[in-house]
Order: sequence, then C-alpha cells, then structure tokens
Amino acid sequence: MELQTTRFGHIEILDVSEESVLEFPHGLPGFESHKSFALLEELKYLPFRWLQSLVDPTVVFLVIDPRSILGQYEIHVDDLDVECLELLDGEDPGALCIVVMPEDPRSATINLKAPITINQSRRRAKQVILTSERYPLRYPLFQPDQTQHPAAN
Amino acid sequence: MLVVTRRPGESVLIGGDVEVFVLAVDGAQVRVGINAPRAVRVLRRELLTQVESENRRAVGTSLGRDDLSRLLQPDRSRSVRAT
Repeated sequence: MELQTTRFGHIEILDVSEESVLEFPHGLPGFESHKSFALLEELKYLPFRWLQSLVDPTVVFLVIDPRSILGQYEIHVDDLDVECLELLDGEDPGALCIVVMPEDPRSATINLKAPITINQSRRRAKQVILTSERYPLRYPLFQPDQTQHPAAN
Repeated sequence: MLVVTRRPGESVLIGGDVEVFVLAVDGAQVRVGINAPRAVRVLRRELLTQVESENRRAVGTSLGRDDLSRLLQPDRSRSVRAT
C-alpha cells in the first residue's frame, strides 16, 4: 500500500506492506484520532524507526528500541494494557520509545516514561504511562559518559 | 461539574465500585485515597498532560536523511550504537 510521510521533513511517498501497520485502539495521548500507524524501518537507520500516521503525513514519530540505549528496560503492563494489546498469558510486549529531536540533535531525548508497547503478532500497540519513578520523560539519547546510564540503575 | 464538600475520613462513591476518600487536609494539600477495580485507570492529570505535550513536541521536530546518517556514523565518539 502507498503511504505519505514527512519523516525527513518533506513529503515522500513510500510503498509499505500491510504487515507494517500497527493499530492503536486509543490513539496516542494528544493524538487520539490517529488509530493506525505504519512502522517504517530501513536497515541503515536502525535502531531508529518511524511511526507514521496513516491519516496525516505530518504526524510521524521518530522512535527507538529503548533496550538499544539502556540494555535493560522494564515495562509493567496492567490488565487493561494486556486486554488492549490482546497479549496472551505471560506474553511480554515489545517496546519503542519516542525520540524528541531538537534543533541540536546532540540534546535529543527519549521518552522512557511513556513507551509504546507492541504486540507484534496481533499488530496492536498502545502508549502506556509507567507509574514507576524510575524512567524519565526526557532521557538524554547521548550520554556525556557512555558508561553511565542513571535511569538503568 | 458536581461539587461536594467532604471532611477527612469521609468519601464519595462513583458508580458501584469506585470510592474516593479524603484522608487528610494540610493547607493547600489534600491527601486522597482511591479504591477502584484494576480495570479503572487512575492517573495524575498532569502526567497525562506532560505525555500529550511531549508527543506534540516529538511530532514538531524532524531530522533530515543526512543528519540522521551522521548521528549513526560509527566513528563518532558519542554514537548511539556505541551504547
């Protein structure tokens, strides 16, 4: 299927497979009317990917697997999330975190507080808000000292 | 909006299975206790507001193809991949 995206700041038309589409039954906070997003990826840009709204080319999120930054990242999903994602008993969802890229990319941050949880097999997704104080809303993507990840302690 | 006056120790019932207790009042702070089934999500309002505004910030920013490639260069001392 054909898809319009502005992931690089200008309109681009891509041919994507139906399997790349994730359903967000509740939309995302602030974007409640956007229920379907295509997960775009290109090998050379990994671990970055994009979530592109199917209804608005300008609504696109740069996302990253938090485990590629922290190594370890724990998500607690409650019964409501399990139901929304249609997870089976004991099944863990995947996670992607939204990147905020200001003018200077060196000060980019990732939202560890509200990860997008994904059930790959059912292609359903939900942005959840973690109640734990452990993960911040703005975690620096680039650490001054690579050996230290305060949020992972 | 329904407005009710409550004293510490008193509560309000919402539907059949949600009860909101006023536990303590100290100046401008009110301590509230909530009994609700697991299927009812309880969230501090400002947390949802923060996530909404962070999502809007994220959509308002984009990075060109070249800029993103540059960020991912393996020879950068602070490469994403190096983490």
